[in-house]
Parts: sequence; C-alpha cells; structure tokens
Amino acid sequence: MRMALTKVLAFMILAAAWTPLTAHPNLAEGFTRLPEGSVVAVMPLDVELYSQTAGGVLEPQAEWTSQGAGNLKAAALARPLPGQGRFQELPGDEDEQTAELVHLHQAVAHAISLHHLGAMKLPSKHGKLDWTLGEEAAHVRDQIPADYALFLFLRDSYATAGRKAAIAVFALLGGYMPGGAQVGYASLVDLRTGRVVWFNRMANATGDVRDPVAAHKTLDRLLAGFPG
Amino acid sequence: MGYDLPPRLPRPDPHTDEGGLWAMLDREEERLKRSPFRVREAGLNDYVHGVACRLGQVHCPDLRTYVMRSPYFNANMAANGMMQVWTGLLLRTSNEAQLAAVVGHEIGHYLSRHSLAGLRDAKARSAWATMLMTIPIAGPLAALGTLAGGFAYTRDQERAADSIGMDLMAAAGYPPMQASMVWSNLIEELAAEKDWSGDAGKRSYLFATHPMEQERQAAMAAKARTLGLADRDPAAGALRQAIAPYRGPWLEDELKRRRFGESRALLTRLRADDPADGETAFFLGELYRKRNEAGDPERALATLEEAAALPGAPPEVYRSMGMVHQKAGRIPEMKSAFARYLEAKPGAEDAEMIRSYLEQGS
Amino acid sequence: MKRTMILAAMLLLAGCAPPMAWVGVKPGPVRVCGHLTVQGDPDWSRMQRRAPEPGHDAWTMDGLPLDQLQFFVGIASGDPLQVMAGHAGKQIPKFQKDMQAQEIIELYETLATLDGSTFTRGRMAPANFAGAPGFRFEFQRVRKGDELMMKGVGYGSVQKDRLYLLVYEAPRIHYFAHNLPQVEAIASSAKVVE
Repeated sequence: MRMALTKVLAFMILAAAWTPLTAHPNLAEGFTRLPEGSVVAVMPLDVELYSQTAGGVLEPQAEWTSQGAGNLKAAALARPLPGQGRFQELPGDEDEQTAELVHLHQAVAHAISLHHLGAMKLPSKHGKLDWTLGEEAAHVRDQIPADYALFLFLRDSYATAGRKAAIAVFALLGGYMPGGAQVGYASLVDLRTGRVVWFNRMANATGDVRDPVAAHKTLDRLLAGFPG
Repeated sequence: MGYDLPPRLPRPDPHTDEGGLWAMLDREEERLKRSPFRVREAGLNDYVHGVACRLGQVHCPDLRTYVMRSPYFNANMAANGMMQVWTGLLLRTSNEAQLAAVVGHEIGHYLSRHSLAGLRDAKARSAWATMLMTIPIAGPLAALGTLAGGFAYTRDQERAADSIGMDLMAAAGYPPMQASMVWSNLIEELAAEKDWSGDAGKRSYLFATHPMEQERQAAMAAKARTLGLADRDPAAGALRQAIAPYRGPWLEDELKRRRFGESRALLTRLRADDPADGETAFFLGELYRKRNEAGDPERALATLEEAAALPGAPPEVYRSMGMVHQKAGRIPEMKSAFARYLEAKPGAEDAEMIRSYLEQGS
Repeated sequence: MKRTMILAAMLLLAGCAPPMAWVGVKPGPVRVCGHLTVQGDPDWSRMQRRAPEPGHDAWTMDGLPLDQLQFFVGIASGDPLQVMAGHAGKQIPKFQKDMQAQEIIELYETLATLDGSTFTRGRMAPANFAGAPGFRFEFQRVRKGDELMMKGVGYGSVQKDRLYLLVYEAPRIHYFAHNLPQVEAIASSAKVVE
C-alpha cells in the first residue's frame, strides 16, 4: 500500500542520506533554552515499525507501530520540563489544517535532514538551522495553550528470528549483515513564529520502542541535547 | 441458487494478525479521510454508498465509502470495510449496473476475507520483496497505492469475487450481463491505445489492479447467461445524473494522462451513450486539439462546433476553438471565438491573456 | 516530499552524473544553462553538476523537499521540456515553436502531474519575460507523494523559435508567499544571451 511503500522508501533514502553525526545540539540562532513553564504540544507522532524478514525485506507491523507510537508518546508526556513546564497532547482527531501543518513539517524535516545535517548542505543557509512552518503554526495554539510543538519521527525495524539466524550464519562466515536499524528525528517549533528552534537526528543499530522501558531510552536518544 | 452472505464480520482481536491488518487499515482510513484527493461531495458519496449498501445487504453498516480523485480504473474494499472508488472508474461505468458489478466484486473479496488470506500468504512467500522491487519510481505510485495490504489477489480469489459479485448484482435487481460489459469496454480502450501509440501496456496504468483475462470474462458472460435477467434496467440515467455535476475535472484528469488511444475510446463510448451531451463532445474536441496529429485540428474544430451546439458544453469550448484557429493563422475566426469565450466567462483566470490575443491579433 | 526525495535520489543515480556540490548563487549576473542570465541572489543555492543537463537547471532557497525554481532554457522546437526516463515517447509532449501560452503551460502541467499530482491553473496574463513579450501564470498543485499543497508561478517567452521558461513552486503554507518577491526579481532580471 502506498503508505507503506512511500514510507519505506523515505526510510531507506533518509538512512542513506545521512553522514556520521557529531554531538552538538542543533539550535536556531537566538534560541538556547526552553523558557520555564513552557507548554509543548506533542504533535501526532510519525512512527512506523517494521520487521525485517530473512531476505532483508521490511514489512510494516501495525500492532508494533501502535504500541511503539503509544509508548513514545507516553514517554514524552511523562518527561519533565524546566519550571513546571509540560508536554501536552492535542485533543481529539486531527483537523485538516493541523494535518497540512504536519505534512509541511515532514517536508521541512527532510529538508533539514538533507540540506543542514546531511551531505547536500545549502550554502545559502550559511550553516544555520533556519527553517520555519510560518505563521500558520499558531493554529495549534487554537487547540491548546501551547508555546512550542514537538514533532517526533521514527522508523525502526526489528530482525525476525529468521533474520537473526541469517545474521548469525553470515557472521560465522566472516561477513556482516545489518540487522535492523532505528532512524528518527525530533524537532521543536516555536508556535508564535513557526520557527524550528531545535532539531535532532538519530540513527542507531539498537533500540526497541515496543517495550515501554526501552521506549524511554529511544526518546532520550531522539531528544539528545534537548534544550529543556 | 445464488450466494448466501455470511453474517457480519466481527472486529478482530488486535493481537491477531487480522487485528494487526485492521489496525493498519484503520490508520490508512484516517489518512484517506483527510486526504486532499478525497472527493467530499455528499451527494456523490451517498450515491455510491447506496449502491454498495444495496449489494452488501446486512453488511451495509460495516461499509464506509470514499470517492478518490484519480484517473485510473480502480475500486478497492479493504478488510476493515473501507471502500474506495476512484473517479477514473466512475467515468468508465456507463450505468449503475456496471458500477454495481465492480463494487459487488470488491464486496465479494471482503465477504470472503481474501485480503487476510493474501496477507498470510504474502508473508510466507515474501511477496513484499516482489512489491518493493517493482516500484515504478517515475510512474504513478498511486497505481499501486491501494492494493489492500499491498498484494494482489490470486486468480482463484478473483474468479470467486467475480461470481459473488454477480450474485449480489442479481439479488439487488441489476442485470448481471453488465459485469461482462465493464471489461469489454476496458479491453477496447487498451486496444485503441495500442493502435495509436503502439503501447500494448498489458499492465496499462488504466488498470490499477491487474487486467481481466479472457477466461474470466468468458466465465462472467457464461454466468450472466445462466442468471438471465437480461431485460432488467441497468439504470444508465441514475449514474449519469449522479456524476454529471462533478465529471468535468475528471475528464480533464483523463486527458492529462496523454493516453490518447484510451481516452478517445472512452470519450467515443460516452458520446454514443448520450449523443446530446455537450461536455463529452467538448472533451473529445480537446483531445484532438492536444493530440495534434495529422488531421486533428480539423477534427477538433468539427467536434468543438458540434459541442457548442449541445447542452452542457462549458464556455471553454470557445476558447479551444480560438486556440485551434490561432494555430492555423485564421485570425478573424480566432477573435470571434475568443470573444465568445470572454462573453460567456468574463471572470476567467486567463481572461487577461485571451484579451491580449484579441488586441494584438496575433 | 516523497517524490522530490525520489527525484533527488534519481538525480543521484540516473541520467546525468551526480551533483558535485551545492553552491551559493552569487550576487551579480549569473549565467544559467549558457543562454540565460539573471541577477543572482545569495539566498539561493544551485546544484553544480559534473555533467550538467543541457537546458535545465534548478535552484532552491529552502531545499528540494520544499521549494524549487526551475529554468528551462532555449528549448528547441521538437524537444520536450525535460528528458524523462521511463515514459513512452508519445506521452511526453514536445515544444513546438508555434505554441501559445496555454499550450506551453500544458507542457509543464504534464511533467508536474506524471506522478498523479493534481494541477489547477490560476491566473494567466501577458507579461514580458527575458526581454520579449511572453506570459505569466499561476497554479496550485497537490503533491501525490506527501499530499502537500503547493503554489506555483511561471514565466515564459519564445524567442527565435526557442522557449525560455521559469517555474517556481513552494508549499502553500508560508513558503510561496514569503519567497515570491525574490522569485519575481529573478524573473524580471532575466535576459537571453547568445
């Protein structure tokens, strides 16, 4: 199905486009830290979990995905913020305007991934994290009194038993076969201006959001260097 | 005699593989609901849903219908009861019975739970691998877009769905032979495309699912003969009325495909179905104008002039005539046609451009 | 987004050689595809390719997944706007020197809808472009891949039987309106050179 296909492609292309990460946090100019008492809206998460079959094929796993998204969201909502700030989810069903903002953010995140953190840096950006969702981001504030919004994206694949067996056999023969990987990003948007004020990219060989405790670890990695 | 519908399908346990499939489909349905490609007009959706309900009988409350804007011939019912009907299909069904044939076929898959069987089979056979390898990058991903769960039904499943669909048609009061007509029309379109562009396109993007085989069509025709009921009304008027207000942009989409063989066969058939329809005549004229092969400008003009004299031709018919005259250097005729266009549509988006042609005389 | 990601991947893999680098556009006159000059603006970046595609160039301000400024320079009669691998000959229309504005826009529309994206034409009016009478058009497009709503503007003119076309597209939310003045500045600075 289109959803699965295009997302798998995005997963593969994202993973391929990334260069090794450095440890510095990515902050927009003029932003250093979340102010005390900030409310951060947790936007609808973009999570897909796959199993990797023996042949290396990625198969979407709906139940894992629901579980993983739920665990990540719960972990985010439980995470403390400075000075009694809090993460808060949006109520009810996503309306069309929010959906369009989320689509826009996807494109912005890919641009940041490709052109700021990746190999195709745009000289016109002068190395700065300088992207925005524009003023329409304030629409989120119509729904909850939030100052910022958090976007989370995760693609994760888990080797099935068959795949693990294949990896083991291959290793015995002296070869290396990748066994699933976690890629994702987290982004913080200032809802008054729409600016992306912080962005972090993550890639890992291990991690498991299907388990609530492990999901906390994944969230920690997504939010590494989070300015709050 | 006939088909006994199973009882309503209960929502599966989320921990089962069927539950997993439903969860995935439910999320896809949420996306579909918000998609800018969804055609939201209530009247149209109600009409298509009405056909589905008549066929689905007790299953009606479990079915949800979405009309999606896409020029390909496709309808698809997913295991969780969500049904998509693409506008390319609504263009190609000449009457309600033909629409019922395709919808009935999809309901047949749903009632038989073919997608679940297929999902299990696909996992076993790593059909996903085949799917992923055959993505046409530059082509319409949409063509593959809605195969439920991402795989194709087996031959047996298709034959079974054909049979069930026809039984449902018969039970709902439709003439079953129309099921066979759907496919012969499509095959005719493909043949016309082959004649024109040399592209046989066994897997023409016309078919979002796989094409009908001779054997299946023969089986449907045979079953129709045994069912009889040939003198039932296929309800051409009802379908035409239901889609008439929305059809213009779909016909534009159709021409944008630039598969002029298929489009010409389609438009010719639509014109034969309703010779007094100015809109289809206009689009046939547009086809000749865009195709622009030897003799096409003359064909375009003749068809556009016919269209202009018929009810339902849009004001763009004069613009198209103007464009054909302009290309041929017939300036007075061009001016006359463009002037009529502006008269009929003074607030047109391209009014400034057209006015400049009137002023310059170029 | 997915399509532009795929497009970016295609550019890396197919047809022309992989892009060497992204370079900033310098202020002052900039030559595009040899036969067009525009006034450069350092807010833009362009791809510098080892083997550039004749007649086509693409600039961006915020990145390929977001906005694209496409140049089609000196397209000759009988040629398509852009060579698209994997599409049957008759499906891709060719520029003809006697084409009027609407037909030229149809050329672009075909490219823009190959992936199933929708395309809605907006305002179309005469305008000078690259030193000759031509046209300006607006459009909206819903991208099939990620369903993002885009807005676009294009400028074109035919000179000595060759087509010069400039098309800009960016998301409807924020980006199009924000970047439009700079796009119009580039368009109005365009000149054909031998």
